Amino acid sequence: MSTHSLDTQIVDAQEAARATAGLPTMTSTRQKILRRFLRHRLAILGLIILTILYASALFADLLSPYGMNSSVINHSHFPPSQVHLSHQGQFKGPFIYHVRKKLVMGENGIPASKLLVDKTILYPVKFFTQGESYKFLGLIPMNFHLFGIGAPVNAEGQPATLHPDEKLNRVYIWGADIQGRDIFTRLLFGGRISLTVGILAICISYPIGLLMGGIAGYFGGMVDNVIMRIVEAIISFPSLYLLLTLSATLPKGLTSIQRYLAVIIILSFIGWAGQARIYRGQVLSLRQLEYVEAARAVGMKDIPIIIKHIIPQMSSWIIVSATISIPAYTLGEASLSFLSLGIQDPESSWGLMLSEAKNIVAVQQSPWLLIPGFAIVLTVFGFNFFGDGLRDAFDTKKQV
Amino acid sequence: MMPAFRFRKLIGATLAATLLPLLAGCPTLQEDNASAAVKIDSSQIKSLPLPEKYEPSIGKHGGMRIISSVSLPKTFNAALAAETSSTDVIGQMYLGLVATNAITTEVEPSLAESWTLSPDKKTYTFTLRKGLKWSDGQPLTADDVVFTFNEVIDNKMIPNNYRDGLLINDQFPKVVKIDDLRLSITTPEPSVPFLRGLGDPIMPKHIFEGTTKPDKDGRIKFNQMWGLNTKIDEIVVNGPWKLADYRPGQWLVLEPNENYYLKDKQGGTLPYLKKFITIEVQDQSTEIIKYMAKETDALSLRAEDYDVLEPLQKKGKFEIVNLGPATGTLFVMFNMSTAQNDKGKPVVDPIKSTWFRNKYFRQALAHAIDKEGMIQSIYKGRALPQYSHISQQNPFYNPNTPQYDYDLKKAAAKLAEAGFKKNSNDELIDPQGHRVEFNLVTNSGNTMRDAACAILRKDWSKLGIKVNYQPVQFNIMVQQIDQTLDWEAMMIGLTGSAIEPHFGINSWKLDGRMHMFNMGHPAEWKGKKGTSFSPWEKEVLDLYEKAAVEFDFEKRKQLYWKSQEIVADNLPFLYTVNQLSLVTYRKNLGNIFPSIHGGSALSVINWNTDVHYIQE
Amino acid sequence: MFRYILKRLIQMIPLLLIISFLGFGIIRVAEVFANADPLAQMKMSPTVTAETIRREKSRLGYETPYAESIQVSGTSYTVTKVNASAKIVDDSIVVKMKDGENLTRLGDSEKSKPLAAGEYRFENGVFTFAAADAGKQVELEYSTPNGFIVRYFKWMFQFIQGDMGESYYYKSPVSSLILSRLANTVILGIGTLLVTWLVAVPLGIYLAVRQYSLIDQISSSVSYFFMGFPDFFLAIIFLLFAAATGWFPIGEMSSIKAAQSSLPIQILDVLHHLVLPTLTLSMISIATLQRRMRANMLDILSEEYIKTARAKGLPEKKVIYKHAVRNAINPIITLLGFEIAGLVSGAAFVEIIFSWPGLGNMMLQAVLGTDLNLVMAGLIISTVMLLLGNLLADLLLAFADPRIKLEA
Repeated sequence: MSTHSLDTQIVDAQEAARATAGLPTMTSTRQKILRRFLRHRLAILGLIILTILYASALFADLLSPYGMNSSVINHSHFPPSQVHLSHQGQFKGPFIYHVRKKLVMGENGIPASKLLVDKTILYPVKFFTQGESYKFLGLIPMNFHLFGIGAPVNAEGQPATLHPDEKLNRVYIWGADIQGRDIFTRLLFGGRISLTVGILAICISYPIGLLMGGIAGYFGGMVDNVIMRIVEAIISFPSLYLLLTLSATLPKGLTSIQRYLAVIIILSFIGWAGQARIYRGQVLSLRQLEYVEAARAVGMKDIPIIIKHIIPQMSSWIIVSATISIPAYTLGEASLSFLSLGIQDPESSWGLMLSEAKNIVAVQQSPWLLIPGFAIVLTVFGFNFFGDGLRDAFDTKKQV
Repeated sequence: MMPAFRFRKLIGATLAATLLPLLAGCPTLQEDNASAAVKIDSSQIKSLPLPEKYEPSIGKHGGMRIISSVSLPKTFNAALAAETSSTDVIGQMYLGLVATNAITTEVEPSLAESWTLSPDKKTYTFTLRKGLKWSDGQPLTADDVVFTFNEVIDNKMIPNNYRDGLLINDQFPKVVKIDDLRLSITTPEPSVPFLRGLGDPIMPKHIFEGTTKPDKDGRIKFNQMWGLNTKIDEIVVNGPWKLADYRPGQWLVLEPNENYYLKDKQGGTLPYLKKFITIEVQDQSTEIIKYMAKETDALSLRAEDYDVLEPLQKKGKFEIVNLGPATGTLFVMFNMSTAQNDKGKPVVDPIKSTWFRNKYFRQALAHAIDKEGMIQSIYKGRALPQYSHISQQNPFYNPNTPQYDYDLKKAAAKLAEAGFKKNSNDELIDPQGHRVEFNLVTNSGNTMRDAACAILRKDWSKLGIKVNYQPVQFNIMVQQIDQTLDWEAMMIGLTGSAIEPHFGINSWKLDGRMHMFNMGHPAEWKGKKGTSFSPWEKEVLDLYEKAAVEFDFEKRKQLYWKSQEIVADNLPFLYTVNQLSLVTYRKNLGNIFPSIHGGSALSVINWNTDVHYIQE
Repeated sequence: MFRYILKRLIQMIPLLLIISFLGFGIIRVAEVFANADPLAQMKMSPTVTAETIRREKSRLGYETPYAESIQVSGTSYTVTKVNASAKIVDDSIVVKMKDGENLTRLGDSEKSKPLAAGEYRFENGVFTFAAADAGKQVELEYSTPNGFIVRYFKWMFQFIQGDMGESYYYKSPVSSLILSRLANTVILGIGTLLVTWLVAVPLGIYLAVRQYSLIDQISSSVSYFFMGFPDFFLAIIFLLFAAATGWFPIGEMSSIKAAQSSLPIQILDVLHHLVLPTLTLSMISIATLQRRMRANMLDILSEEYIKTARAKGLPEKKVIYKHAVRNAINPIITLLGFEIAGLVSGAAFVEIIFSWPGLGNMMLQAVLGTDLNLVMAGLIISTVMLLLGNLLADLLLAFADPRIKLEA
């Protein structure tokens, strides 16, 4: 689908263009559009999903119990913590039992590791606890976390002591990865990359695509020919192969932020061509319209005409088709990181997290490694629902 | 396009369904209330002892064995084979003059029936077995042996891995035919490890004669011969197996060579098996799945995968055995090279270079490697700490090699001793006031490495050091070691030999390709300025060279022991841990003699496939 | 018709040129920025000689080798095969006596040292020999680096002649590698295409006719569900399923045991291996296609002429199958073109995860190993497939809808 979407996305966008092109003006219909959108239940669902996802990425520090790279090495592939309310029939409030990773001597003199639960040691689950410090929204220093666990106690509520070789448990609502890092935490932080790649890539590829398409369509002739041949060449590349080849150009030793930007640039490089082609078609027809002719007649320069008159005409189409194409970029990033060619450890992204699931044996033992995949699926759902809603709302021809 | 459907509930249900498998996947854990020890002391780990003697029993003809590999051979040309994927298969098809017995570790006759050593210990005279034949029926004589050594191996135009191992004082030995069955090999100096190195595969002269010299276009035809697209019946062998079928990316099938010289005690032909098959799989986890599905019959197991197979042993009718610490090593090294590239820029920032070349700096960091933590958490107890560059299973291993126990206080003290101190931000500052910060490179896509590096980074950051972790693709890493030298710290693993320490001399030769921690020998380096060496580097090399000509075992041992002490003091390699060599095979296989000396990976059991057979 | 196809094929040529140039450019960027060196592994091998590396470089088109045979007269000799301004690759120089003995080169650090017999210097295209060697026959070999454009054209002319070069990693001709892999990929692609279209089109029609029924709602939800799935994620889930149940082989294309028996069994074996990869790929396509087919059908069913047909009293079956389906299917034939085009590269992830010995799997390895010739051939071949797919789609469309005229 990742490769697929970049291709079929073109078809999608073409349809969106067909549906929304040539709307008179937006202001007069704005309320109608909003009403139509609100009536689209799936779109609302999509909006809710997206809001939750983006909010959780934004407030990742607060929502997650630990830091992104905080690891307990002995907790590799720790299972999700099971939250209990009562101990031996006695209500204790939410708590988790102590989970112990124990090495026992197996057959043939080879140590085997066993996970066991010790019901004599309890950790109370606490809300708004103090933990690792961070800067809230990158500004305000804080150390509050939405939830976490307190010090271990025994059944009577007295402080419990652990064996000196043991480390304190942590709360892993979705288990731990191979390095003993909380998957829930990394998922929230990974969202910061996985959820923004698409939007930022659109912010690069759309302006380029629009401008190139606009220039090609508006001027026609030789300019049109050159631009469109390049566009066709890029579209003709099988997108995954192009993605792979481009990722081979990334120099070693990039910092994580540089790598992140590089991935965005690679994705936009592939993405702009599709927009340019569709937009060119639109401009070709708009160019003939009277007010463009009029603008030219009063001596307006070409580029201002494209920017001032033609692009605004297309704004509804731009919004809709951008929303529809975001999932393709999200999947592009996930694919690259999944193949260890995109975002790299210790940074976090959903594709990168899912790459641990390439090890089939590990997933069989620890199925929670698949969770980042579902986060990707949910994001795509969100954008698909939301995008469909937008398209239908802008579509004057369609009566919902 | 999207008519309004009334399927709110259904959407909700499908979303819930996505999360269901996850809930089902949560294991229920057994209870444990005793707060007893959770660790296993490494001294409790037992490995399978080697049998006293190697005495295979009489087997049964027929049946086949199937094993898996992540990579099939890259060539069928024995001289050009470089990767283990190629040499493992070629080892099944070709024999050399002598062979090392994996059980007794003695050098044994192979194609040669016997040999004598002259009084000056320089000339070996070999007598070949009578009636040896190639798989195409041609006789195998001293001519083939002389051809192989003189025209193939000692041929700079043929890139082969054998020549280096035979050089003594940079000279290739003289190989001379005496008669059809006898030949002599003369070395410039007496050498102890030399005989063991004579297991190189012998190639057929009647096929390759005339192809080893440049033709009129300056091309060596030999280098193009017996690639992967050669017809299988054109490949002529002298060992137990010959090629029967090969499909790229899928499988390779071997069948018995009727002209194999060895027979069992009752005069029966060998090998017993009708087919020996290697299938190619994507990765190591697929290998395990295939083994569990009974598609393959043996598997070399990584430490982390043991827990998966352990509970299945009885039901799956297989056994997992521990052959002791593996011969490979995993270590961190610092780039001590002071070379400058062709633009006159130092390959390592001179500020950092002074740290890396500082013995106390390296010792301090060695104290901050939590080997026990790695063993317990990453390898789940199935590894041993490593201290010496010589494998623990090697007869020359020095048990008194200094060990750097995990102690951050000692580490901090060593750093203070070397003039490093912490500033108010808890950052480590060198005597000149520079913040201590470096890049740690390792090959990407290896989760165990990631985890090991995470442990290092955590502890080193406690010392105030900023470690930037950079996983890179393997070939780029290799290029950094060999070509650009522009790395700072690197974690890398190497394979090794558990018998002969001399085979590791390339790490200690100053111009050796494996002198990775200080590359750029002035005579070889293409850049503006070569590197410089410390006296101890020459000292280690000296000990190795002396040991190579020392025929007395005890004296030789002393030399290697000394070298281990010097290396452990200067720490060109900061060793981490040594995984246990775990191998598993089906119980219905006969004549399996697992031995760490068999070779790397599955070679620990596949070194004697000629006598393997299927039991009822 | 024929003229139309010919015209389209001719139009492909400049496009392919641009594409190959772009591809070559990207790889060049990789070489400069990422230090991606196809010879890295070879250079690391302790036994590879400088001569071998030089030969490889000229074979891969990085350098052009020259050889001159001269008789030393006087002490200096200026190379004649290239002009003085040409850069000569420093470590490409080999100087041999007629009998094959190598001469030793004195470097910059030994500038003041006088030349002894068998020694030489080289600076700015000028060889300086020892006086003692005068009169001897000497062979000179050197190379000049090839610029990007030269390398591109060299590669292109070879490619046009059908010589795709040799793969560095696999050490065998690229053409045979690509062919064998391409066949496997096409098998997977055709399987997917068949399953997708045979399921999606009837399903779309059925659901449109039964709009808002329970089955329509269920299948719509399921479609939405699968449309959000990245193929690699779905592939992992299916692979887990195979491993857990043991009903299907875990990856690969055929099993060694079946390969030993008769042809029908071998075919069945391949089909058995084909099930899960095909299912992974079709699940996602079916979801999209089925929705489109359904939407088209609904659009058509609300058209006036359908109402007229119904009003005329035509049986419902005839209305749907004769009139509606025919018109609804046309727009999605464009999609078939995309599917055919995507046959080659669309399966790459599934191939990688299911260890299917196809082109995608090989391309990943080739890119990781900077196997220039293989990457370029893979790019070109898959692009050609894509373009042919588009052409085929247009032809199909014209075939299905007589209203569309192909303009030659």
